[in-house]
Amino acid sequence: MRLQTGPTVKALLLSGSILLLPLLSPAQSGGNSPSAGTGASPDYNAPPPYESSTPKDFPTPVLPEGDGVRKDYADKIRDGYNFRFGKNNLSTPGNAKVVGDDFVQPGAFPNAKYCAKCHAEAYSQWRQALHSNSFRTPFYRTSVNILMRTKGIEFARHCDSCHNPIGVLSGGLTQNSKVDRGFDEDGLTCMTCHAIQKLQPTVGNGGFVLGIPSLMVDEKGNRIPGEVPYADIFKHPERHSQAVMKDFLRTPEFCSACHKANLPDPLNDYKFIRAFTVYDEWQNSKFSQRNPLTFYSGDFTTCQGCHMKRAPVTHVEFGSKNGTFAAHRWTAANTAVPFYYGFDEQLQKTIDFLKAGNFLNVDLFAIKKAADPTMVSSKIGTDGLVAPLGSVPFKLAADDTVETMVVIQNKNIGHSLIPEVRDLYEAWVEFEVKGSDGAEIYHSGFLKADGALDERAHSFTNRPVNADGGFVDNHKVWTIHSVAYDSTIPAGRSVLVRYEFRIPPNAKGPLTVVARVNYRHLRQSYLNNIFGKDHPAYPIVELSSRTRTLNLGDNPAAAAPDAQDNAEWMRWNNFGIACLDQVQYADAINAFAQVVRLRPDYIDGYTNLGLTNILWEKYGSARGNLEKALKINSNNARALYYMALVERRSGNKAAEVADLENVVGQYPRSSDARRELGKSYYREDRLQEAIVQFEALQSIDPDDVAAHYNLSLLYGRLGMTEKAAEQAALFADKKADPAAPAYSLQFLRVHPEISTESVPWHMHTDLSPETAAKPVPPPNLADKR
Amino acid sequence: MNGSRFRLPYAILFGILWLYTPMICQASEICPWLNAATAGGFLAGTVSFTVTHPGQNKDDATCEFIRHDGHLVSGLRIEVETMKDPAHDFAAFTSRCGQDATPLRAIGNEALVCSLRGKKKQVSEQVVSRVRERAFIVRVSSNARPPDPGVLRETARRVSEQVAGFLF
Repeated sequence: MRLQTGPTVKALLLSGSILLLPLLSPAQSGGNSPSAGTGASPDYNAPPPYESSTPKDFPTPVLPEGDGVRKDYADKIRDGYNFRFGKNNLSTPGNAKVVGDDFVQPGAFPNAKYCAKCHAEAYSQWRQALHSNSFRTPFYRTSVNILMRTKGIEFARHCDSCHNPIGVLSGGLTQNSKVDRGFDEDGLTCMTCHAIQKLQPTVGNGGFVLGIPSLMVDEKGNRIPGEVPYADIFKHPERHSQAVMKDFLRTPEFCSACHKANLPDPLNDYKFIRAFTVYDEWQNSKFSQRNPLTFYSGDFTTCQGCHMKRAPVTHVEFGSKNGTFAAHRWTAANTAVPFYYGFDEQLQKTIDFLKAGNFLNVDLFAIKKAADPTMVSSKIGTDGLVAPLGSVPFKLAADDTVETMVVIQNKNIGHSLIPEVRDLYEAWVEFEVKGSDGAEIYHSGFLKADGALDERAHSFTNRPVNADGGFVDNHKVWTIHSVAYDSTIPAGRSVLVRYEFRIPPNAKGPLTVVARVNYRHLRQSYLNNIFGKDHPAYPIVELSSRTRTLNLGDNPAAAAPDAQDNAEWMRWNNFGIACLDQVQYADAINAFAQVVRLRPDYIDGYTNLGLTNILWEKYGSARGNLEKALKINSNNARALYYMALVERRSGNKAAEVADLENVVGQYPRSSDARRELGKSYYREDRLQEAIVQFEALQSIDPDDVAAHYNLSLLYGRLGMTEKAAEQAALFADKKADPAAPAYSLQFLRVHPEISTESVPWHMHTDLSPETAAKPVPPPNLADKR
Repeated sequence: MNGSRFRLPYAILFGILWLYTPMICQASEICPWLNAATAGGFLAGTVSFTVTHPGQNKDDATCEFIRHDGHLVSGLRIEVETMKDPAHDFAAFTSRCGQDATPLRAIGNEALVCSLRGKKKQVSEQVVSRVRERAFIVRVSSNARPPDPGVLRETARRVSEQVAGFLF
């Protein structure tokens, strides 16, 4: 069989060979590397450097293409495109949009090498960064290929709205595509981000609207599509900036367009499931200064503030200012891609970034010991605590059974540890106890011979499961029905990890205890899925660690605090936060009491006591604590918020509303405050005011189910039936499936190690169940019996 | 009457187009590894192609894309074969690159690239690679004078990345 393809006669007449126009001319594809330059600031008055260049050195600018070319292209693509999700619906199940809502020819996107002429620094960084490799990597393709093969390539528009938007909007994601996919290798090229004209509400999945890529605007501000001669840019750099640098590029909302994702019904034929929302995690962090409820406060820092830090330029970069430029390598945590491609600089900078040392704090905070292992359960109680380690003396002896409490604080990450796809990324705690002779006494979180992680390790991972209760392997997100296990440390919070071991009778002291937080991109079984088992070991990065030496015998208090440790009050505070999240209210109260003892001026110490008492349903005690906080600062938003909840419980509606109005006034972007104030207004029949709050809540998080639910009722009561029905439908789609826990339980039944990990209070130990420690029932439960 | 007056010029026009336009027909089988538009992009022009299944495994296929530009002929051949025992069988594929092969990073699980000299002064660059148990060979050829092995090699690498991406 010998066949030939080519443009149709009609297409040839109308558009020449646009469809098959090579993305790069041979000269362009010949690997023009950006020329090196000095770090000096560019001079826009300097002669354009291209004047002395030979044609081989620089890509030949493509003349701007008018709308006619686009229309012809779109007509051709539309004919045969799989419009499974509705006529003229280009990107569903994703959200990527383009001005004009029609296909755009890949050639409309200037190649990155064109930009590299004047932005060599940006180009060199981008080439090694995740954004340029968003599509082509094996780590992505393995998953999306399964989707294409099992459900159809059109479903991949969900993933590729962010991973390959040119592929989606050029109409390449359809059966028997006629689109030249040469652009795949550039993933998110310069003129995907820099052509975005506006942002959709922060729904993610490609929540942007692309314009036809333009590098210049004319004197009236009209966009000029396509590549232009460099001379034009040098003549009017301000018009170039106007075309490619929208103000929102510097905002977290811009990042949210893709760093927020959900699994919609058209993808999974099930229902809306929120996938990840690192943007909302940032909104809830101290770095956004939008959330009054954070445990600590911090300076306002955007996504770009951490992941695009300005650095001195080493290549030609006309976008630099004072010799520095906002890094376009988006250093974060992906070590797999630079490792695979051999991008050594990117890999090293990623590792350096991860090991910067100020993101996490690992605290070997406390021990408890039991003198008689056979009576462990009766001996371990809150009053047996030796804490904080280093500040108090204690004794240890051979044959002691020791519980060690490790507090890990997410101190300066603007999102959770680890964000986004915790089914692929793997962070875990490695805990090791050795004698002075090197003999291993206890080890948790080790790697097995096959490279897999000890399944009983305390990991910051999750286990999404399908309708059969099986682990959704290979990132087949379209089959997810529930999440059986999800372990993380939200921004600003802390977790408590407990380890129990027995000191052998023949142990040689002093003992060395080490707790590390390790990180691997990606988990071994996923790497095995991609490559088979014969792949090299991928990098493991120690994010943070803490080592202590324990003497067999006397352990005196240290003369001075260790520089690695937080201040003592903060160590107690983090312990309290961790106990709170483990529903250990009595321990949390004791910890926060230590905080206010050490820092009586610290308003959040009292508020934390108030919060714990609210959760413990001790509203009288909560009021007392919150009053102390408000006595220090009557306008403290965090204390006012929790006081409003106490007032609500007491039926003091006016005080409740007044407190929440105060909080919203101070923090208009607080989703919690808007939600609660909306409820308060609703209860008082102040319907219009309630609507204002819930609509504001939707502007903060369009997926908030409380907003959908309450707005459906409120609109209905005001006769706005159409809007009420719309909100009701959204609520029905987005609310949790009541049957979902059944899928999770099915998984947990056959995975006891994860079942244990999923319990807030759990112990890591090698000791037999008879001798291992058991939790003392929390006093609140005892009280209720 | 008016309509018939324009029939003859239209017929002449279409006749000319027929003569100067490559034969167009719809492919009943497309290349699984690379579509013709992308192949055309790599070869910088319109291509014709064949798809064959030399082996017994129906999932394996060999695609050959050819571009004619006057006396210049450039070609792209993609051969994919499933191995029963990759640890043993892949050596047979790498041997097709000979001693001068050099390792190529970030293509599939592993890859080699080498230069070949064919008949009629044809120059080829060939990549031999595998994704898990599937071996593939990409060969890009040209009879252009003077030959530019650098461009051919880069094209072979880029094509190989596309094929590997599909096979992952």
